[in-house]
Amino acid sequence: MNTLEIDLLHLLFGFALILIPLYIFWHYKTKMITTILLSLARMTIQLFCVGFYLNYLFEKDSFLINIAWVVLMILVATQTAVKRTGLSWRVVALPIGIAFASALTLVACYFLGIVIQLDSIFSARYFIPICGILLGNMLSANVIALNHYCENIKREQTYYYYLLGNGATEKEALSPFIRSALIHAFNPIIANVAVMGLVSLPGTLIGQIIGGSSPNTSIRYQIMIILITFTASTLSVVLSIHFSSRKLFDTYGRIQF
Amino acid sequence: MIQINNATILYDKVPLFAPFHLHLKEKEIGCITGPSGMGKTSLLRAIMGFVPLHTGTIFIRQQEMTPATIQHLRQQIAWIPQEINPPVEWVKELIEELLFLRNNTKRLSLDSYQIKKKVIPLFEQLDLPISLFEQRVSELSGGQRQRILLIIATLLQKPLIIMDEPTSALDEHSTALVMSYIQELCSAGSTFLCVSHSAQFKTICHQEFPLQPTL
Repeated sequence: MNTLEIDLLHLLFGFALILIPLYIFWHYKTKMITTILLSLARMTIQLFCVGFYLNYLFEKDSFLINIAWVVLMILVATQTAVKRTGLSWRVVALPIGIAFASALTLVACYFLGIVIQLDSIFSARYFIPICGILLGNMLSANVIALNHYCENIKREQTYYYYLLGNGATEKEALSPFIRSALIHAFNPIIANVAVMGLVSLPGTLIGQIIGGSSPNTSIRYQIMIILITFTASTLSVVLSIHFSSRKLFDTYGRIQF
Repeated sequence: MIQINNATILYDKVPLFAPFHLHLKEKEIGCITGPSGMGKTSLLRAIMGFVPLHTGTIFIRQQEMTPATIQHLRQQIAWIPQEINPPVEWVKELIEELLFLRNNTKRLSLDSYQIKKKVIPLFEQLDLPISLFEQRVSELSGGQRQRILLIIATLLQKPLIIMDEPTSALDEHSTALVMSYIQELCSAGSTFLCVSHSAQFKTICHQEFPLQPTL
């Protein structure tokens, strides 16, 4: 079973749909029309470029090129995460980068090597999309968690110092804030997981079904995707908080941001 | 118990007060005084290692405060800020969070039941209704909160208690209760260092350390 192609003309028909949201945004004077158009244009161009590039990657399917592409994805994800947390580059870039790379390596290798049992885990068809979906999820979880963590410590610094001043180790004084960041970042994700299949049909499932896989296979993949994204996101959030804390606090435990 | 030599703190590159000296012996109550905005709280926070000193040294029980010793020194101190707004919902939970810190558990090894048993007479002594123990922190008044922080400090059984304005939110009656409570702890062996504006509170202090303006 092959997926139906969308030719250029019909792609344009698809684009015509956005006239509806554009009209709504214009009607309520949101002043977002330019931003929306720019974002859609960027998305279209980027995806077409990536499409060409992925074609090239899949044809070549070279171990080195695949790894290089994933390294580039990690760098872009790190850069985006740093920018969106508003924290200093010097302080969080390396911790976030290392957290992403380690969580990604561990979870992707485990899934591709042990669960799917690929002969070569670096095979472009599996390695790149899996890394992509893991990084995308890690990125949003880390931005939410780090923002919440830092804002919360700033706002509740009297309590942080209160714990520290009564004999807590730095780890202990930070643990209520890590707890709160985890709850804040993962509560919506867990709520979404609980209604999956009933309220929402997730992307991987839809993609695979349209791509011609049986619903049975698609669902198994989807379940695995949920598990690995959840694991990698949690791991990367804890690691990035842990690594960045070394620079967010000085040797006396004082807040440095 | 605590010795401070030549301490200064900068704010916007300007020293807040003239070099400060202090020597407080065991079983004494010391009070740092000075006009508002002069840096009393900053100095107290510097003694806790939360604010950097520009010059000077701090010794607690003959041990100098450095990055290497700070953790050990803080383990001998109970710190009571003027006010906290803890992200903890229940009073019971707040008390337990402090008592269940690893270092405190190791020293005191109290469980929830024992904590409650120890807390009840202290609540009575400071004129707090026992029902507060099961109440929300957000429902406490400023004065109740201050007394609960003092009770937590007592339960921690540290040799040195450092307090920022311990009676600022209290009426005359509660201030008198807190003062006699502190005196009692002091004669039992605790040392107190605080910042206070209250003339009433200063009457129980053995030493007063006024901050001097810079020349």
